[in-house]
Amino acid sequence: MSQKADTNAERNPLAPIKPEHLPYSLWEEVARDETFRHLVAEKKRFIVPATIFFLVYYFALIVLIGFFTFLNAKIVASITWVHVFALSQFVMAWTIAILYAQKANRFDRVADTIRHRFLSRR
Amino acid sequence: MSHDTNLLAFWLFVAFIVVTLAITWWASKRTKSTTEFYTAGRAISGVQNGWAIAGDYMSAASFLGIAGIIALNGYDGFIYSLGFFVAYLFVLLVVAEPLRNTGKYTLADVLALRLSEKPVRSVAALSTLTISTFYMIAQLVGAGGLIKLLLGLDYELSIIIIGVLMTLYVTFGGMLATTWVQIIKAVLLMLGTALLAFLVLKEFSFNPIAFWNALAEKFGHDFLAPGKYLTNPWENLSLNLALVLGTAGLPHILIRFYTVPTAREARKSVVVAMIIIGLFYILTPLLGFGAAYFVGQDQIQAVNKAGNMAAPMLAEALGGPFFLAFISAVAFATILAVVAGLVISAASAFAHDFYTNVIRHGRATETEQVKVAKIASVGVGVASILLALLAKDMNVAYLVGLAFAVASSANVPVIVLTLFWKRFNTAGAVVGMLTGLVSSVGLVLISPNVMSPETAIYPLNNPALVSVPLGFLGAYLGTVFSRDTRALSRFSELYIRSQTGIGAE
Repeated sequence: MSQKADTNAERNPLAPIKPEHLPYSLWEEVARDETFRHLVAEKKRFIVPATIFFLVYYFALIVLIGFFTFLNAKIVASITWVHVFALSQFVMAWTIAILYAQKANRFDRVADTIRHRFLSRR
Repeated sequence: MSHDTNLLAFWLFVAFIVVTLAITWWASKRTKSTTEFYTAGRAISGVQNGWAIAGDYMSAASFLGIAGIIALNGYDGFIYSLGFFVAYLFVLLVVAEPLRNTGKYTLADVLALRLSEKPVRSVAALSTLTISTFYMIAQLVGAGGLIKLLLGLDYELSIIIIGVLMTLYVTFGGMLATTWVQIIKAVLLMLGTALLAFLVLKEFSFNPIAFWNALAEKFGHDFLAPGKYLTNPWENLSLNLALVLGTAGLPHILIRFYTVPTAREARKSVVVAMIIIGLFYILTPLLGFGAAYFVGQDQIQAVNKAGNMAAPMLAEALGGPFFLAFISAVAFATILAVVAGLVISAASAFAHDFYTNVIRHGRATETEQVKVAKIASVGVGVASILLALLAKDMNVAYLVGLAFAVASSANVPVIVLTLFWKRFNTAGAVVGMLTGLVSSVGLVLISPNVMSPETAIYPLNNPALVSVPLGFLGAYLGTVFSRDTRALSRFSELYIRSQTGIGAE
């Protein structure tokens, strides 16, 4: 791999090393690191419920319109629940995306700290 | 289409071709190294990449196909819009950032970090080439028919023009040219869609409820209710499983994340793409229903049975010949941007994964790698043109669904398990990918797509409902029946890198 040009390594001061050349013990050290474990736990606490929620919310529509008819009931004029439920998928997806983007800005800062500490210790 | 419109559309096409070739010429001066060829030097910003993802993703099937299904069958066409859009949540939450942090040029780079390089690269390249081929044939055959309708050019000539252009963009301009073609197309497509939607709503004084009531009055309430097109609920489930998971396994989408400098920008690009793609899909009912209302279903079907001309015909009905010419040019740009993305993803799977790392054991020089990448692009382009010419009279509409099914059954289980399951190993990845690939293709061969509906052994058109669980099962069984100490010991490294970006290229 060494003869492949790595233009980015020069641009990005945080990636000056080939991680595959780092000793195994260093990775194990990070894996045990309190900040890293906390970061991963925090991420999981958002990502796992958000993924389950969106899959359930989306497939609820697919199952309910496929196997049942009660969502065809009118709400007002010619608008029925199938229309509202379908449009709400957009609101649901945009909301989760924006909430995640906000959360993730904090994750980035923690990840930056871990990266700096790790690379300076090496 | 009148002669004047043809002429106008023709000059708009020529303008688009001139601009994109100029971009390709500009990009070719900035495309020397492999990183520049495959990833545009990782110098694309998150916002630019968001537009490019939208341009890479929203195909003619989305623009013309969904409008047609809605125009002819009502509500069910909108289900495609929802599935194509909601899928990006899975991309955003599960795959985008870890892939950006751990990959170099392709999906297989991520797998090779902890699994045995040669077997996983070979199988991943096979899966990428399969997905890209199915998707490409569907796009090109559809494009040939459309250009014939829009411009009056012969099928063969249309395929050759599109095939040559996509090959030129990728071979000379690499990812940089591909990216800008996709950005321009996305802007044009959004403009065209917004204008069409605006013209439809204008007829109802911008009151969507009035439009809705008018539709119910003209076509009956059933037209606005589900179940006219996706009549089998299991089919509906299977299709949506393929769409929602499969997007996260589409190679031409995944390689876009390597064009931005960091995972942060990768995330930003998905959020931007979700805004653009969401706005587009939320407008599709106005296009489809608008066409049914203002053009008429019989008229749409008279021109093309599947309804593919619904959107262009609506443009003519509401905006006159100039608008029709503009929408035709948008459709042309839409096709080109998608097929260019497919060419570069197939070329990278062949050149980077298979040639450089399997055949040459990773020892090819930089110059050799770039040369092979360009040769592979030409090869992919020529092969696609030939396949599309051969497939002229075949019904290839199901191939898009099949591409999503293969992506969701072969790639997604292996991506997710490589990133998050400590015990996962090489045998699991190989068995999982092959099971997903073989079962999804095999099920389609015994489905009503290929066999007659009465004798088909597998009753659904889309295989995902069965093939996705099989892909996961294969990955699980391959793992538990084999030992791979390297995969186990390198999990911490991959996991830490995927979560923190340490050592990201």
